[in-house]
Amino acid sequence: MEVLQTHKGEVKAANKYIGKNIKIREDVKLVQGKGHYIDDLELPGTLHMAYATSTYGHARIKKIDTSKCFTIPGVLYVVTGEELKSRLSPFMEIATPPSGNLRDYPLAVDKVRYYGEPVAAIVATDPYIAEDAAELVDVEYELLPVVLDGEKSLEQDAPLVHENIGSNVVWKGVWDLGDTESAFDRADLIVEDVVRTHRYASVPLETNGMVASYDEGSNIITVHSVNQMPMFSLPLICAALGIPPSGFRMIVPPNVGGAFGGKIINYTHITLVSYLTRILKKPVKYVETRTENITFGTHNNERIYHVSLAARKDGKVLGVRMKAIDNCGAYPRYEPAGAVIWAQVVPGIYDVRDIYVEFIQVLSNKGPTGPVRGYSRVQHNFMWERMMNALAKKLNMDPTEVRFKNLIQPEKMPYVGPSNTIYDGGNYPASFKRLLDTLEYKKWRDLQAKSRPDGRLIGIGVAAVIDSGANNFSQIKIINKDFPASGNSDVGMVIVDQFGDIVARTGTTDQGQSHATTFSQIVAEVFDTDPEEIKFQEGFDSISNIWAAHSGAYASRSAVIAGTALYYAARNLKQKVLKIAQSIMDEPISDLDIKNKEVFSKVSGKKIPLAKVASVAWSDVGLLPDGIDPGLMSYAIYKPDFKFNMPDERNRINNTLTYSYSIHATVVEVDPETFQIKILKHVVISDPGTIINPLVVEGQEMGATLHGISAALSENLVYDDDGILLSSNFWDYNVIGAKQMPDLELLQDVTRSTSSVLGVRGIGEGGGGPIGSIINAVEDAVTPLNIKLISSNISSYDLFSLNRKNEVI
Amino acid sequence: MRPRPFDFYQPTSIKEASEILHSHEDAKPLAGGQSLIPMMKLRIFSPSEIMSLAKIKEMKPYISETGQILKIGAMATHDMIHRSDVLRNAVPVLSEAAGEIADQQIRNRGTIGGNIAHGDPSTNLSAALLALDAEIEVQGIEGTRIIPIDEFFLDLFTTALDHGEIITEFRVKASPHTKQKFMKVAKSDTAFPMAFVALNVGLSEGFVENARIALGVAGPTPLRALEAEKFLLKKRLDSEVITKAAQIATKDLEPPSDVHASEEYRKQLLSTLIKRGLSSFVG
Ligand SMILES: Cc1cc2nc3c(=O)[nH]c(=O)nc-3n(C[C@H](O)[C@H](O)[C@H](O)COP(=O)(O)OP(=O)(O)OC[C@H]3O[C@@H](n4cnc5c(N)ncnc54)[C@H](O)[C@@H]3O)c2cc1C
Repeated sequence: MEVLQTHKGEVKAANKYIGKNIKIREDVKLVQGKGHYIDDLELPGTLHMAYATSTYGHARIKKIDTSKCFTIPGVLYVVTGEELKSRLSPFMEIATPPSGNLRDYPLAVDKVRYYGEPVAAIVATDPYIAEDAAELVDVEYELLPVVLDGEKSLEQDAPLVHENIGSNVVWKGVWDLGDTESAFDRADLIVEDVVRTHRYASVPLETNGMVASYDEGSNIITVHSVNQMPMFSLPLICAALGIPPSGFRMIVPPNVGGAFGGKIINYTHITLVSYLTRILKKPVKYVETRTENITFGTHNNERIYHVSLAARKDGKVLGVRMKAIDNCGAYPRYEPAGAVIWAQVVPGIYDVRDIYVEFIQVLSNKGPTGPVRGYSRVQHNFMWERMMNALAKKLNMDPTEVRFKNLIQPEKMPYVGPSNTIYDGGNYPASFKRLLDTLEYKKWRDLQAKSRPDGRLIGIGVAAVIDSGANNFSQIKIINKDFPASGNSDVGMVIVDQFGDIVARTGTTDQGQSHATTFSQIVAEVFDTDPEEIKFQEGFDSISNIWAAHSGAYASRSAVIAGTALYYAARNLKQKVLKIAQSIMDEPISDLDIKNKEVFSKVSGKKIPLAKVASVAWSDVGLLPDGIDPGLMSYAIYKPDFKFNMPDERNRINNTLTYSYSIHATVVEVDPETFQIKILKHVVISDPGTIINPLVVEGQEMGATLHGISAALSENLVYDDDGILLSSNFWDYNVIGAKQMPDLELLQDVTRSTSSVLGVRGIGEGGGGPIGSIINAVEDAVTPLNIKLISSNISSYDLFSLNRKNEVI
Repeated sequence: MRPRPFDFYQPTSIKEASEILHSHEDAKPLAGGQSLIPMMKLRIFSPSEIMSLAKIKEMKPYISETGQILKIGAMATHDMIHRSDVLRNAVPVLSEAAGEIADQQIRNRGTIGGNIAHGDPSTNLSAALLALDAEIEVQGIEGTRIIPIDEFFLDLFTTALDHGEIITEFRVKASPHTKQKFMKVAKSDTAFPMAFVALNVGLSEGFVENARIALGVAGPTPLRALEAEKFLLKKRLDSEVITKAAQIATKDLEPPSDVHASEEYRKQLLSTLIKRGLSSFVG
C-alpha cells in the first residue's frame, strides 16, 4: 500500500505522521549540553593549530621569519606558504583558464590578497601557546594598492589580485533569453536603476573546526570536520594532498552548530591540518576564532546590477536587461558556482520571459565568498524587488499593484521559466493577497498618509524570494563543461535490527535542521509506527556510513533528496519484512501490513512482532523462504530527474528541483531625529510544499527571517579604503538577536510540489526575503526626505548621512 | 581569541589585595570580567598578572541604605542594581542604566566597580553616577579615600585611581523627588551603545532648581553638559528651553567616530536624547 501522498499515485491514505507537530527530538539534548560538537572531540595527544594572519589588504611577502615562535616551549611546527607551494598542489578551480589557473593554497603564497588571510600556521601542544607563537611570526611586507569594489576591479589599470591570470575576471557569461529587443521596442517606458548588495557573513554559532589524525599503519588520514559538503570537498582535499580518496576518511560529528553555507570552503583548513598531521604523526586540531570566522569564514557575494526594465504603462513588465558584476573576494574557492546559481530564479516570481543578463564575476582584495543562506539568489531576488518598486514609483502606482500585474498565475504552474526552470506550484496572487490582508495593508497606507504631516515616517515594503532547493549541479557545466559534477543524489538506509527496532540513516548530516525528527517521521509513515520508535543515526563517515557524492546539508536539499531516498529505502524494506512474515504467518502477503512494530493480518487479525521477523531474517536464517537473502537492511539512492537536466547553448537548465517561495511584508517607522528604524509589523507567507513537521518548518522560516532582518539592518562587513576589515568581531559586526526580533506572523499556503516525490519543497535557506521588504519599506518611509537607497543594508547612521547630503545640496 | 599568559592571584582580604597590587606593578583587578576578559581575548590588553576580587570578604556585593545615603558595594552586579527596589525608588536613573547594559548574562556578571574603574565613556553607569553626583570610596595600601565622581574620569581608560587602589563602594544621595531618566541608542542589546544620556533634574513649581546632565560616548571620558545645566537653572522646561539646552549641551562636543556613527551623528543623537529626556519631565 502506498501510504504517502505522492504526486504520481492516488492518495490512498491520509498521512498519519508526516505533517504532524511532533516534538523535535534533538532540542532537549542540545539545550542540556549533551550534543557532540567538533570542539568536544579531544583525541589523545592532540596538537593545536593557530594562524598568523595578514594585517594588510594586499601586499607582497618579502620575508617571513618564524624563528621567534620556537622560543616558546610547546611550539612544534611552523609552516608558511613557501613550504606548501612545494608540497601541495594548488586547489582545483571550478573555472576554466585563464582564471582557472590562479593558484590557491591553504596559506598565502608570495602575496597576501585580503586582510586576515592566513600567512603562517603554528602547531603547538595547546591552543594558547599556538596563539602566543602566532604573534611572533615576523612578516616583512611590501604594500600593494588594493582593489575593493567590483566595478573598479574591471578597470584597465586596476591592481591585479592574481597577476598570472591577466585580469581580475573569474568568469563571464550571457543569458540571452526570449527576445528583449522586441520587448524594449514594445515598451511604454524604460526604468533604469542601480542595485547593490552588500557583504555580510553566515556567522553560525559554532565556527569552522576540524581535527585530523594520521594512522601510519594503514596510511589513512582521518578528518573530523564540520564540512557541510564532505564528499564534494574530499576530492579537492585529496588532489591538493596528492593522496587517493581511499587514504582519506572524512567524518562529520553528530552535531554541527549551524552553517548557513559557511561550512563549505573550510576545505583549505582541512587540507592544512591533514598535511600537518601526516608530518607530525599526531592529531592536529583547528577551530576558527570568532574573528577568523567573520574575517574569512565565508562572506556573501557583493553584487552590482545595472538594470533596464521595459514596461507598459499599466505596470506589466515586458523585458529586462542587466549587467551584474559580482565581487567574490580574493579567492574563488566554491566560486564561480554562484555566478550561475542565481539563474535558478531568473524571473523572480514574475511572469517575464524576455530577459538578458550579462554576468561577470570578479576578484577583489576582500575575504573569500561562498554560499551564504540564499546563496546567489538573494542578490537576484533583491534586484527584482527593487526594480518593481522603481517601476511603481515611475508610474506612480502602488508597488503592490505593479506586482499583481506581473505575478506568475497559478494556472501556469508548473511554470517553465525563460531559462527552463520548472517552478513546481504555488498560487502567488492568492498568497500575496492573503499576505496584504493579514498585514492590513490599506490600514497602514492610511496611517502613513495621515501621520506624515506630523512628521512621522512610516513605510511599507513587500518583497518576494524564490527559495530554490535541491540544486542541480549540472549548472556548473555552464562554467566548465568538464567539471565532474552534475545532477544531485543522496542515500537512505533503513534497518530492522535483530531486536526489531527500526533504524534509519542518510548520507546527510544536519546543522540544526532536525533531521532526526523529520526523517523519522518519513520512516514512521511507511511503517505506521510512532516516530519516537524510529532510531535515527546521525553523523557522516565516508568509511563506515553511507553516502552519495552529493550528500550534505546545503541548498535546502536534505528533505527533498535524502528524504526521498529514505522513503524508498523504507518502502523496499517493508516489502521484504512482509515477504518473510508471509512465510512465518502462513498468510498471503496481500493480507499483511505493519503497524506499531508488528506485522498483522488484515483478515485473520493474527499478529507477530517485527522482532520475530527480524530474528528469522538476521540469525535464524535457516527458516528464510527460498530466494530471500538474510538481513533486514535496505539501501536506496535517489537521483532526481530535473527534466532539463543539462544546460543548453543558451545556458537554459532546470538548475534546481523545488522552488518554494516566501513573500515578506514589513511596516517600519523611521525616527526623524535619530533615524533609528523600527519594525512595526512583519508578515511572511510561504509555500513549503508538503510539510513534514510544522515546528521544524516554522523554526527554519523564523531563522531565515531573522537572518534577513539582521542582514538588512545590521550585519555589514565594512572595509576601509586600505582594505582593512573594520568589523571583524562582534564588537563591530552586530548580529541581531532574539530580543531585537520583531513579532512575526508566519502564514503558509501549502500546495504539493509537482517535482518532488513526497511533495516537499526545500525551505532551509529562506533566501533573505526580508532584505527586500525592509529596504523597500525604509525607502518608502523616508520618501518625504527624498532619500534614495541603493544597497541591501541600511543603518540609522546611513540614513543620517544620506539626509545630511541632501541638506547640503 | 585566547589571552596571553598571566599569573593569577585570589586574595581574601582588602589588605592582602592591596599588598599584591602594591608589590606587582602589572597586576590588574578582575571583577566581573565583562570588559577586561574580552580585551584580553582580543589581545588588545594583556596584563601579565590578574588579581580576582571575587573572594575578598569585605567586598561581598551589597546595596544598603543609611538615612539618605545609599551605599553600593563595588562588586554589586548590574543585575542586582537593576532589580533593587531601594535603588529603583531612590535613584531610578541608576536602576534604568543598569537594566540597559547589554544582556542578562553580562548583567549577571558585570559589576558597578568594573564599569566605573574601566574609565570607558561608553559605560552606562558612569553617566548615571555622574548625574547622581556619586562619591567613590577607594582603598589602597595607604588607606581609604573618597573621590567625587566629577574628579574621577581623567581621559580615555584613565581614571583618578592610583595603581594599587581598589574601588570598594559607591555612595549616592537618595533623590526620589527629582526627575531622572536614562536613554540610549544602540544597534542591539549586546552592541556597545552609540550614545546615551543620564538626566537628573530637580523641579520646583515647574522651574529647574538643579540639573545634572551626563553624556555617554560623547568624548574621551564620560562627560557632564555643564553649560547646559547652568542654562537650565531657574528656567521652565518649555520646548524652546529644552531645544536650546540640547544645543548648548552638544555644540562643543567632539564625540568619537567609528563604523557605527560619525561625530556629527553622535552629536545629533545626544542632542535628541537630551531633548526627549527633558521633555519627558514635563507634560
Ligand atoms: C557584549 C558586551 C556588551 C556590553 N555593553 C555594555 C553597555 O551597553 N553598557 C555598559 O555600560 N557596559 C557594557 N558592557 C560592559 C559591562 O558593563 C562590563 O561589565 C563593565 O564595563 C565592567 O565590569 P566588570 O565587573 O565586568 O569589570 P572587569 O571587566 O572585571 O574589569 C574592568 C576594569 O575595571 C577594573 N576593576 C574592576 N573592578 C575594580 C575595582 N573594584 N576597583 C578597581 N578596579 C576595578 C579592572 O581591573 C579592569 O580594568 C558590555 C560588555 C560586553 C561584553
